[in-house]
Amino acid sequence: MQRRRLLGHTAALVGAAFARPSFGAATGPLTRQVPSSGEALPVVGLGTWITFNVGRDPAARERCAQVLEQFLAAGGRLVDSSPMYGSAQGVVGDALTRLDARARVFSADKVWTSGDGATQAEQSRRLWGVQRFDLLQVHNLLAWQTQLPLLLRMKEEGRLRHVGITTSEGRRHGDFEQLMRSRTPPLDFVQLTYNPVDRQAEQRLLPLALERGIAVLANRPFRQGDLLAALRGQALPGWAAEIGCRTWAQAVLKFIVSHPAVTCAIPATSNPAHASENMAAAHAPLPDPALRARIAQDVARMA
Amino acid sequence: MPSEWWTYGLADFLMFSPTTWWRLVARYHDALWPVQWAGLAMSVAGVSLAWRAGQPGATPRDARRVGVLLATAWCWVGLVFHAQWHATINLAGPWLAALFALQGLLHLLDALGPAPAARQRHRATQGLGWGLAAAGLLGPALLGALAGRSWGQIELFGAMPDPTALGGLGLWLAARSGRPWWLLPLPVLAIAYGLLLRWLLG
Repeated sequence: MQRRRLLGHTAALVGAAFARPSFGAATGPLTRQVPSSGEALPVVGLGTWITFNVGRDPAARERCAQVLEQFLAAGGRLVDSSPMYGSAQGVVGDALTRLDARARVFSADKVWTSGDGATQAEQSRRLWGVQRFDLLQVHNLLAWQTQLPLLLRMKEEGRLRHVGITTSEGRRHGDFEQLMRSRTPPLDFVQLTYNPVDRQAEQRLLPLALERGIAVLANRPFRQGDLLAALRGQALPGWAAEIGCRTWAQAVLKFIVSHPAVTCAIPATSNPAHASENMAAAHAPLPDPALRARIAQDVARMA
Repeated sequence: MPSEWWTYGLADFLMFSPTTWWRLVARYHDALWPVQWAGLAMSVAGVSLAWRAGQPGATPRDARRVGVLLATAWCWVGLVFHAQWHATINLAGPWLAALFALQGLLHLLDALGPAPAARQRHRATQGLGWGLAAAGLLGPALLGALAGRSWGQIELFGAMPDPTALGGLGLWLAARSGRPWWLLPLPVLAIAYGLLLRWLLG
Protein backbone atom coordinates (compact mmCIF):
# COMPACT_ATOMS: atom_id res chain seq x y z
CA MET A 1 0.00 0.00 0.00
CA GLN A 2 2.86 2.36 0.91
CA ARG A 3 4.72 1.67 -2.34
CA ARG A 4 1.57 2.13 -4.36
CA ARG A 5 1.05 5.55 -2.78
CA LEU A 6 4.65 6.51 -3.55
CA LEU A 7 4.36 5.39 -7.14
CA GLY A 8 0.98 7.05 -7.41
CA HIS A 9 2.10 10.50 -6.55
CA THR A 10 5.41 10.15 -8.34
CA ALA A 11 3.47 9.42 -11.49
CA ALA A 12 1.37 12.45 -10.76
CA LEU A 13 4.41 14.69 -10.47
CA VAL A 14 5.90 13.31 -13.68
CA GLY A 15 2.60 13.79 -15.45
CA ALA A 16 2.35 17.38 -14.36
CA ALA A 17 5.95 18.25 -15.18
CA PHE A 18 5.94 16.77 -18.65
CA ALA A 19 2.46 17.45 -19.92
CA ARG A 20 1.82 16.07 -23.35
CA PRO A 21 0.88 18.53 -26.06
CA SER A 22 -2.83 18.52 -26.64
CA PHE A 23 -4.29 17.20 -29.85
CA GLY A 24 -7.72 18.59 -29.07
CA ALA A 25 -10.78 16.55 -28.31
CA ALA A 26 -9.29 13.43 -29.88
CA THR A 27 -7.30 12.67 -26.74
CA GLY A 28 -8.96 12.02 -23.39
CA PRO A 29 -8.54 14.35 -20.45
CA LEU A 30 -5.41 14.41 -18.32
CA THR A 31 -5.68 12.12 -15.32
CA ARG A 32 -4.07 11.87 -11.92
CA GLN A 33 -3.77 8.72 -9.90
CA VAL A 34 -5.47 8.30 -6.56
CA PRO A 35 -2.38 7.32 -4.55
CA SER A 36 -4.06 4.75 -2.33
CA SER A 37 -5.77 2.76 -5.06
CA GLY A 38 -3.95 3.69 -8.23
CA GLU A 39 -7.20 4.66 -9.92
CA ALA A 40 -6.74 7.29 -12.63
CA LEU A 41 -9.15 10.20 -12.37
CA PRO A 42 -9.62 13.00 -14.91
CA VAL A 43 -8.39 16.20 -13.30
CA VAL A 44 -11.69 18.03 -13.71
CA GLY A 45 -14.86 16.65 -12.12
CA LEU A 46 -18.37 17.98 -11.50
CA GLY A 47 -19.80 19.54 -8.35
CA THR A 48 -23.54 19.65 -7.68
CA TRP A 49 -24.08 22.26 -4.90
CA ILE A 50 -27.00 24.51 -5.91
CA THR A 51 -26.80 23.66 -9.62
CA PHE A 52 -28.38 20.23 -9.22
CA ASN A 53 -30.80 21.19 -6.45
CA VAL A 54 -33.74 21.76 -8.76
CA GLY A 55 -36.44 19.77 -6.97
CA ARG A 56 -39.09 18.09 -9.10
CA ASP A 57 -38.88 20.54 -12.02
CA PRO A 58 -38.84 18.24 -15.10
CA ALA A 59 -37.28 20.81 -17.43
CA ALA A 60 -34.54 21.66 -14.93
CA ARG A 61 -33.83 17.98 -14.31
CA GLU A 62 -33.54 17.45 -18.03
CA ARG A 63 -31.03 20.29 -18.19
CA CYS A 64 -29.01 18.75 -15.37
CA ALA A 65 -28.95 15.50 -17.33
CA GLN A 66 -27.60 17.46 -20.29
CA VAL A 67 -24.87 18.94 -18.09
CA LEU A 68 -23.92 15.45 -16.97
CA GLU A 69 -24.07 14.18 -20.55
CA GLN A 70 -21.68 16.85 -21.80
CA PHE A 71 -19.42 16.27 -18.83
CA LEU A 72 -19.24 12.53 -19.47
CA ALA A 73 -18.88 12.95 -23.23
CA ALA A 74 -15.82 15.12 -22.61
CA GLY A 75 -14.29 12.35 -20.52
CA GLY A 76 -15.35 13.48 -17.06
CA ARG A 77 -15.86 10.91 -14.31
CA LEU A 78 -15.97 12.25 -10.77
CA VAL A 79 -19.32 13.67 -9.65
CA ASP A 80 -19.53 15.05 -6.12
CA SER A 81 -22.71 15.53 -4.10
CA SER A 82 -24.07 15.47 -0.54
CA PRO A 83 -27.27 15.10 1.49
CA MET A 84 -26.71 18.77 2.36
CA TYR A 85 -27.44 19.72 -1.24
CA GLY A 86 -31.19 19.18 -1.03
CA SER A 87 -32.56 17.34 -4.05
CA ALA A 88 -29.19 17.20 -5.87
CA GLN A 89 -28.51 13.52 -5.12
CA GLY A 90 -31.85 12.46 -6.56
CA VAL A 91 -31.32 14.65 -9.61
CA VAL A 92 -27.90 13.04 -10.16
CA GLY A 93 -29.46 9.59 -9.81
CA ASP A 94 -32.21 10.51 -12.22
CA ALA A 95 -29.68 11.79 -14.76
CA LEU A 96 -27.56 8.66 -14.41
CA THR A 97 -30.64 6.59 -15.16
CA ARG A 98 -31.56 8.63 -18.24
CA LEU A 99 -28.02 8.43 -19.56
CA ASP A 100 -27.48 4.82 -18.44
CA ALA A 101 -24.19 6.11 -17.11
CA ARG A 102 -23.79 4.55 -13.67
CA ALA A 103 -20.79 2.51 -14.76
CA ARG A 104 -19.03 5.58 -16.14
CA VAL A 105 -19.03 7.86 -13.09
CA PHE A 106 -16.79 7.95 -10.09
CA SER A 107 -19.46 8.51 -7.44
CA ALA A 108 -18.37 10.82 -4.64
CA ASP A 109 -20.82 11.68 -1.90
CA LYS A 110 -20.78 12.63 1.75
CA VAL A 111 -22.05 11.75 5.19
CA TRP A 112 -23.54 14.81 6.82
CA THR A 113 -25.12 13.98 10.13
CA SER A 114 -24.27 13.71 13.79
CA GLY A 115 -26.80 10.86 13.95
CA ASP A 116 -27.08 7.59 12.06
CA GLY A 117 -24.50 7.88 9.28
CA ALA A 118 -25.09 4.35 8.02
CA THR A 119 -28.77 5.01 7.32
CA GLN A 120 -28.00 8.30 5.66
CA ALA A 121 -25.30 6.71 3.49
CA GLU A 122 -27.72 4.00 2.44
CA GLN A 123 -30.35 6.60 1.56
CA SER A 124 -27.76 8.47 -0.49
CA ARG A 125 -26.79 5.27 -2.26
CA ARG A 126 -30.41 4.65 -3.23
CA LEU A 127 -30.81 8.16 -4.54
CA TRP A 128 -27.77 7.69 -6.77
CA GLY A 129 -28.82 4.14 -7.68
CA VAL A 130 -25.24 2.88 -7.41
CA GLN A 131 -24.17 -0.46 -5.94
CA ARG A 132 -21.64 1.26 -3.76
CA PHE A 133 -19.96 4.66 -3.66
CA ASP A 134 -16.47 5.15 -5.03
CA LEU A 135 -15.89 7.76 -2.35
CA LEU A 136 -17.69 8.82 0.81
CA GLN A 137 -16.48 11.84 2.73
CA VAL A 138 -17.28 13.24 6.16
CA HIS A 139 -18.88 16.54 5.15
CA ASN A 140 -17.30 19.53 6.89
CA LEU A 141 -15.93 17.10 9.48
CA LEU A 142 -19.39 16.86 11.09
CA ALA A 143 -19.20 14.23 13.86
CA TRP A 144 -16.05 12.81 12.26
CA GLN A 145 -15.22 10.90 15.44
CA THR A 146 -18.28 8.73 14.72
CA GLN A 147 -18.58 8.90 10.95
CA LEU A 148 -14.94 8.34 9.98
CA PRO A 149 -14.75 4.96 11.75
CA LEU A 150 -18.08 4.08 10.12
CA LEU A 151 -16.74 4.85 6.64
CA LEU A 152 -13.51 2.95 7.30
CA ARG A 153 -15.55 -0.07 8.40
CA MET A 154 -17.66 0.17 5.25
CA LYS A 155 -14.46 0.22 3.21
CA GLU A 156 -13.07 -2.81 5.00
CA GLU A 157 -16.30 -4.65 4.27
CA GLY A 158 -16.04 -3.80 0.59
CA ARG A 159 -19.13 -1.55 0.67
CA LEU A 160 -17.12 1.55 -0.18
CA ARG A 161 -13.99 2.13 -2.21
CA HIS A 162 -12.44 5.30 -0.77
CA VAL A 163 -12.83 7.37 2.37
CA GLY A 164 -12.30 11.10 2.77
CA ILE A 165 -13.09 14.29 4.65
CA THR A 166 -14.19 17.69 3.40
CA THR A 167 -13.99 21.32 4.37
CA SER A 168 -14.30 24.58 2.50
CA GLU A 169 -13.21 28.21 2.51
CA GLY A 170 -10.20 27.57 4.70
CA ARG A 171 -12.12 26.30 7.72
CA ARG A 172 -10.69 23.72 10.11
CA HIS A 173 -7.36 23.35 8.34
CA GLY A 174 -5.81 22.59 11.73
CA ASP A 175 -8.10 19.61 12.24
CA PHE A 176 -7.46 18.52 8.67
CA GLU A 177 -3.73 18.58 9.20
CA GLN A 178 -4.08 16.56 12.35
CA LEU A 179 -6.22 13.91 10.65
CA MET A 180 -3.98 13.81 7.59
CA ARG A 181 -0.91 13.23 9.74
CA SER A 182 -2.29 10.91 12.35
CA ARG A 183 -4.27 8.26 10.54
CA THR A 184 -2.57 5.07 9.47
CA PRO A 185 -3.14 4.07 6.80
CA PRO A 186 -3.74 7.64 5.60
CA LEU A 187 -7.13 8.82 4.38
CA ASP A 188 -7.73 8.24 0.69
CA PHE A 189 -9.04 11.73 -0.08
CA VAL A 190 -9.34 15.21 1.33
CA GLN A 191 -11.55 17.90 -0.18
CA LEU A 192 -10.79 21.56 0.38
CA THR A 193 -11.07 24.94 -1.29
CA TYR A 194 -8.25 25.84 -3.63
CA ASN A 195 -8.17 28.40 -6.46
CA PRO A 196 -5.95 31.34 -7.52
CA VAL A 197 -7.35 33.60 -4.79
CA ASP A 198 -7.87 30.97 -2.06
CA ARG A 199 -4.39 29.55 -1.72
CA GLN A 200 -4.17 28.88 2.00
CA ALA A 201 -3.96 25.14 1.37
CA GLU A 202 -0.60 25.62 -0.37
CA GLN A 203 1.01 26.36 2.97
CA ARG A 204 0.59 23.03 4.68
CA LEU A 205 -2.24 20.83 3.49
CA LEU A 206 -1.28 20.37 -0.16
CA PRO A 207 2.37 19.52 0.63
CA LEU A 208 1.14 17.20 3.37
CA ALA A 209 -1.22 15.47 0.95
CA LEU A 210 1.71 14.84 -1.40
CA GLU A 211 3.88 13.61 1.42
CA ARG A 212 1.26 11.22 2.79
CA GLY A 213 -0.13 10.08 -0.55
CA ILE A 214 -3.63 11.52 -0.08
CA ALA A 215 -5.73 12.50 -3.11
CA VAL A 216 -7.06 16.07 -3.13
CA LEU A 217 -10.38 17.35 -4.48
CA ALA A 218 -10.46 21.12 -4.95
CA ASN A 219 -13.89 22.65 -4.31
CA ARG A 220 -15.13 26.20 -4.95
CA PRO A 221 -12.79 26.63 -7.93
CA PHE A 222 -14.78 29.68 -9.01
CA ARG A 223 -15.92 30.78 -5.53
CA GLN A 224 -19.42 29.76 -6.55
CA GLY A 225 -19.24 32.01 -9.62
CA ASP A 226 -18.06 35.14 -7.82
CA LEU A 227 -14.49 34.81 -9.08
CA LEU A 228 -15.57 34.48 -12.70
CA ALA A 229 -18.04 37.33 -12.30
CA ALA A 230 -15.21 39.55 -11.06
CA LEU A 231 -13.06 38.60 -14.06
CA ARG A 232 -15.82 38.85 -16.64
CA GLY A 233 -15.25 41.36 -19.39
CA GLN A 234 -11.54 41.55 -18.70
CA ALA A 235 -9.33 40.29 -21.50
CA LEU A 236 -7.32 37.17 -20.85
CA PRO A 237 -3.60 37.96 -20.50
CA GLY A 238 -1.18 36.61 -23.09
CA TRP A 239 -0.24 33.54 -21.05
CA ALA A 240 -3.75 32.15 -21.56
CA ALA A 241 -3.11 31.31 -25.20
CA GLU A 242 0.22 29.69 -24.26
CA ILE A 243 -1.65 27.14 -22.19
CA GLY A 244 -4.61 26.75 -24.54
CA CYS A 245 -7.18 28.68 -22.50
CA ARG A 246 -10.05 30.46 -24.23
CA THR A 247 -11.90 31.43 -21.07
CA TRP A 248 -11.18 32.57 -17.52
CA ALA A 249 -12.86 29.39 -16.22
CA GLN A 250 -10.32 27.27 -18.09
CA ALA A 251 -7.43 29.43 -16.88
CA VAL A 252 -8.56 29.15 -13.26
CA LEU A 253 -9.03 25.40 -13.55
CA LYS A 254 -5.62 24.89 -15.14
CA PHE A 255 -4.04 26.84 -12.30
CA ILE A 256 -5.75 24.57 -9.79
CA VAL A 257 -5.04 21.21 -11.39
CA SER A 258 -1.45 22.06 -12.23
CA HIS A 259 -0.60 21.94 -8.52
CA PRO A 260 1.03 18.52 -8.16
CA ALA A 261 -1.00 17.66 -5.07
CA VAL A 262 -4.41 18.28 -6.66
CA THR A 263 -6.12 15.18 -8.03
CA CYS A 264 -9.31 16.77 -9.32
CA ALA A 265 -11.10 20.13 -9.29
CA ILE A 266 -14.90 20.04 -9.01
CA PRO A 267 -16.56 23.05 -10.64
CA ALA A 268 -20.36 23.11 -10.69
CA THR A 269 -22.47 24.42 -13.55
CA SER A 270 -26.05 24.46 -14.72
CA ASN A 271 -24.98 25.12 -18.32
CA PRO A 272 -24.21 22.07 -20.49
CA ALA A 273 -21.84 24.11 -22.68
CA HIS A 274 -19.86 25.17 -19.62
CA ALA A 275 -19.52 21.53 -18.60
CA SER A 276 -17.67 20.87 -21.87
CA GLU A 277 -15.72 24.09 -21.55
CA ASN A 278 -14.58 23.16 -18.04
CA MET A 279 -13.50 19.69 -19.15
CA ALA A 280 -11.43 21.28 -21.92
CA ALA A 281 -9.19 22.61 -19.14
CA ALA A 282 -8.23 19.01 -18.38
CA HIS A 283 -5.83 18.95 -21.32
CA ALA A 284 -2.19 19.86 -21.71
CA PRO A 285 -0.39 22.14 -21.65
CA LEU A 286 -0.61 22.97 -17.97
CA PRO A 287 1.26 25.96 -16.54
CA ASP A 288 4.67 25.38 -15.00
CA PRO A 289 5.42 26.76 -11.51
CA ALA A 290 6.61 30.13 -12.83
CA LEU A 291 3.47 30.61 -14.91
CA ARG A 292 1.31 29.45 -11.99
CA ALA A 293 2.75 32.24 -9.91
CA ARG A 294 1.98 34.77 -12.65
CA ILE A 295 -1.55 33.49 -13.02
CA ALA A 296 -2.19 33.82 -9.30
CA GLN A 297 -0.77 37.32 -9.33
CA ASP A 298 -2.84 38.41 -12.33
CA VAL A 299 -6.08 36.89 -11.07
CA ALA A 300 -5.65 38.43 -7.61
CA ARG A 301 -5.04 41.81 -9.19
CA MET A 302 -7.84 41.66 -11.72
CA ALA A 303 -10.54 39.98 -9.64
CA MET B 1 -24.84 24.56 14.25
CA PRO B 2 -21.90 24.14 11.86
CA SER B 3 -18.45 24.30 13.44
CA GLU B 4 -16.78 27.72 13.10
CA TRP B 5 -20.31 29.02 12.50
CA TRP B 6 -19.09 32.61 12.79
CA THR B 7 -17.16 32.20 9.54
CA TYR B 8 -20.35 31.57 7.56
CA GLY B 9 -22.17 34.37 5.80
CA LEU B 10 -25.93 34.26 5.38
CA ALA B 11 -25.47 33.64 1.67
CA ASP B 12 -23.73 30.34 2.49
CA PHE B 13 -27.07 28.94 3.63
CA LEU B 14 -28.94 29.63 0.40
CA MET B 15 -29.03 26.26 -1.25
CA PHE B 16 -30.85 27.03 -4.49
CA SER B 17 -30.50 29.56 -7.28
CA PRO B 18 -32.94 32.43 -7.87
CA THR B 19 -33.91 30.74 -11.15
CA THR B 20 -34.83 27.56 -9.28
CA TRP B 21 -36.91 29.54 -6.78
CA TRP B 22 -38.91 31.46 -9.37
CA ARG B 23 -39.50 28.34 -11.43
CA LEU B 24 -40.78 26.65 -8.27
CA VAL B 25 -43.18 29.53 -7.66
CA ALA B 26 -44.39 29.46 -11.26
CA ARG B 27 -44.87 25.68 -11.29
CA TYR B 28 -46.70 25.84 -7.95
CA HIS B 29 -49.16 28.36 -9.32
CA ASP B 30 -49.50 26.42 -12.54
CA ALA B 31 -50.18 23.13 -10.78
CA LEU B 32 -52.59 24.63 -8.27
CA TRP B 33 -54.47 27.07 -10.48
CA PRO B 34 -56.75 28.81 -9.55
CA VAL B 35 -54.74 29.32 -6.34
CA GLN B 36 -53.96 32.90 -7.34
CA TRP B 37 -57.63 33.69 -7.72
CA ALA B 38 -58.24 32.09 -4.34
CA GLY B 39 -55.49 34.34 -2.99
CA LEU B 40 -57.16 37.40 -4.45
CA ALA B 41 -60.52 36.37 -3.03
CA MET B 42 -58.98 35.76 0.39
CA SER B 43 -57.30 39.17 0.30
CA VAL B 44 -60.61 40.89 -0.37
CA ALA B 45 -62.43 38.78 2.20
CA GLY B 46 -59.66 39.33 4.73
CA VAL B 47 -59.81 43.10 4.38
CA SER B 48 -63.57 43.11 4.65
CA LEU B 49 -63.72 40.80 7.66
CA ALA B 50 -60.87 42.54 9.46
CA TRP B 51 -62.59 45.88 8.96
CA ARG B 52 -65.80 44.63 10.47
CA ALA B 53 -64.06 42.94 13.36
CA GLY B 54 -62.19 46.13 14.15
CA GLN B 55 -65.28 48.30 14.38
CA PRO B 56 -66.89 49.38 17.68
CA GLY B 57 -69.98 47.27 17.09
CA ALA B 58 -68.08 44.10 16.18
CA THR B 59 -69.40 40.81 17.52
CA PRO B 60 -67.40 37.76 18.66
CA ARG B 61 -68.52 36.09 15.46
CA ASP B 62 -66.76 38.79 13.43
CA ALA B 63 -63.55 38.04 15.32
CA ARG B 64 -64.01 34.32 14.71
CA ARG B 65 -64.44 34.78 10.99
CA VAL B 66 -61.17 36.65 10.73
CA GLY B 67 -59.49 33.92 12.75
CA VAL B 68 -60.79 31.17 10.53
CA LEU B 69 -59.73 33.01 7.38
CA LEU B 70 -56.25 33.62 8.76
CA ALA B 71 -56.01 30.00 9.94
CA THR B 72 -56.89 28.83 6.44
CA ALA B 73 -54.26 31.05 4.85
CA TRP B 74 -51.45 30.07 7.21
CA CYS B 75 -52.28 26.35 7.08
CA TRP B 76 -52.49 26.30 3.29
CA VAL B 77 -49.15 28.00 2.83
CA GLY B 78 -47.56 25.78 5.47
CA LEU B 79 -49.00 22.42 4.49
CA VAL B 80 -49.03 22.93 0.74
CA PHE B 81 -46.47 25.50 -0.34
CA HIS B 82 -43.77 24.91 2.27
CA ALA B 83 -44.27 21.20 2.93
CA GLN B 84 -44.84 20.01 -0.62
CA TRP B 85 -43.09 22.53 -2.82
CA HIS B 86 -40.51 24.60 -0.95
CA ALA B 87 -39.26 21.52 0.89
CA THR B 88 -38.24 19.95 -2.44
CA ILE B 89 -35.42 22.48 -2.74
CA ASN B 90 -34.86 23.72 0.81
CA LEU B 91 -33.89 21.69 3.88
CA ALA B 92 -35.59 24.45 5.92
CA GLY B 93 -38.87 23.74 4.12
CA PRO B 94 -40.32 21.32 6.69
CA TRP B 95 -39.48 23.73 9.51
CA LEU B 96 -41.25 26.56 7.75
CA ALA B 97 -44.19 24.26 7.11
CA ALA B 98 -44.39 23.53 10.83
CA LEU B 99 -44.14 27.22 11.71
CA PHE B 100 -46.91 28.25 9.33
CA ALA B 101 -49.17 25.33 10.23
CA LEU B 102 -48.71 26.06 13.92
CA GLN B 103 -49.68 29.68 13.41
CA GLY B 104 -52.74 28.48 11.54
CA LEU B 105 -53.61 26.19 14.41
CA LEU B 106 -53.18 29.03 16.91
CA HIS B 107 -55.56 31.22 14.91
CA LEU B 108 -58.04 28.38 14.84
CA LEU B 109 -57.76 27.82 18.59
CA ASP B 110 -58.30 31.52 19.14
CA ALA B 111 -61.26 31.59 16.75
CA LEU B 112 -62.97 28.54 18.22
CA GLY B 113 -62.09 29.29 21.83
CA PRO B 114 -64.11 31.31 24.30
CA ALA B 115 -65.53 34.54 22.97
CA PRO B 116 -63.13 37.41 23.54
CA ALA B 117 -64.09 39.64 26.43
CA ALA B 118 -65.30 43.10 25.54
CA ARG B 119 -62.06 44.82 24.77
CA GLN B 120 -60.78 48.20 23.92
CA ARG B 121 -59.77 48.71 20.39
CA HIS B 122 -56.33 50.15 20.24
CA ARG B 123 -56.45 52.62 17.38
CA ALA B 124 -52.70 52.95 16.94
CA THR B 125 -52.27 49.18 16.77
CA GLN B 126 -55.09 48.94 14.28
CA GLY B 127 -53.51 51.68 12.18
CA LEU B 128 -50.23 49.81 12.19
CA GLY B 129 -52.13 46.69 11.25
CA TRP B 130 -53.70 48.32 8.21
CA GLY B 131 -50.30 49.58 7.14
CA LEU B 132 -48.78 46.13 7.39
CA ALA B 133 -51.80 44.59 5.68
CA ALA B 134 -51.45 46.98 2.76
CA ALA B 135 -47.72 46.23 2.56
CA GLY B 136 -48.30 42.50 2.77
CA LEU B 137 -51.28 42.15 0.48
CA LEU B 138 -50.02 44.55 -2.17
CA GLY B 139 -46.26 44.84 -1.71
CA PRO B 140 -44.94 41.46 -2.93
CA ALA B 141 -47.42 41.49 -5.82
CA LEU B 142 -46.41 45.00 -6.91
CA LEU B 143 -42.71 44.22 -6.51
CA GLY B 144 -43.21 41.19 -8.69
CA ALA B 145 -45.08 43.13 -11.34
CA LEU B 146 -42.39 45.83 -11.38
CA ALA B 147 -39.71 43.15 -11.74
CA GLY B 148 -41.53 41.87 -14.80
CA ARG B 149 -42.64 38.63 -13.22
CA SER B 150 -45.39 36.73 -14.95
CA TRP B 151 -48.86 36.26 -13.50
CA GLY B 152 -47.74 32.80 -12.45
CA GLN B 153 -45.11 34.26 -10.17
CA ILE B 154 -47.10 37.08 -8.52
CA GLU B 155 -47.28 36.46 -4.78
CA LEU B 156 -50.63 36.73 -3.06
CA PHE B 157 -52.03 36.36 0.43
CA GLY B 158 -53.21 32.86 1.17
CA ALA B 159 -51.07 31.38 -1.58
CA MET B 160 -47.47 32.49 -0.87
CA PRO B 161 -45.51 32.95 2.38
CA ASP B 162 -44.54 36.64 2.42
CA PRO B 163 -47.95 38.17 1.73
CA THR B 164 -49.52 35.64 4.10
CA ALA B 165 -47.11 36.41 6.92
CA LEU B 166 -47.06 40.20 6.55
CA GLY B 167 -50.64 40.55 5.39
CA GLY B 168 -51.86 38.07 7.97
CA LEU B 169 -50.10 39.90 10.79
CA GLY B 170 -51.50 43.20 9.58
CA LEU B 171 -55.08 41.95 9.28
CA TRP B 172 -54.94 40.40 12.73
CA LEU B 173 -53.59 43.60 14.30
CA ALA B 174 -56.28 45.61 12.52
CA ALA B 175 -59.07 43.28 13.56
CA ARG B 176 -58.05 42.39 17.09
CA SER B 177 -55.70 45.17 18.16
CA GLY B 178 -52.95 42.66 18.79
CA ARG B 179 -54.77 40.21 21.05
CA PRO B 180 -54.07 37.55 22.08
CA TRP B 181 -50.33 38.26 22.23
CA TRP B 182 -49.33 34.69 21.42
CA LEU B 183 -50.42 35.17 17.85
CA LEU B 184 -47.55 37.64 17.37
CA PRO B 185 -44.19 35.79 17.57
CA LEU B 186 -44.52 33.32 14.69
CA PRO B 187 -45.54 35.91 12.07
CA VAL B 188 -42.56 38.03 13.12
CA LEU B 189 -40.25 35.04 12.55
CA ALA B 190 -41.91 34.26 9.25
CA ILE B 191 -41.56 37.85 8.05
CA ALA B 192 -37.91 37.96 9.08
CA TYR B 193 -37.20 34.76 7.16
CA GLY B 194 -39.07 36.03 4.12
CA LEU B 195 -37.11 39.28 4.09
CA LEU B 196 -33.84 37.38 4.44
CA LEU B 197 -34.70 35.02 1.59
CA ARG B 198 -35.79 37.88 -0.62
CA TRP B 199 -32.53 39.69 0.07
CA LEU B 200 -30.41 36.61 -0.62
CA LEU B 201 -32.27 35.92 -3.85
CA GLY B 202 -31.59 39.47 -4.97
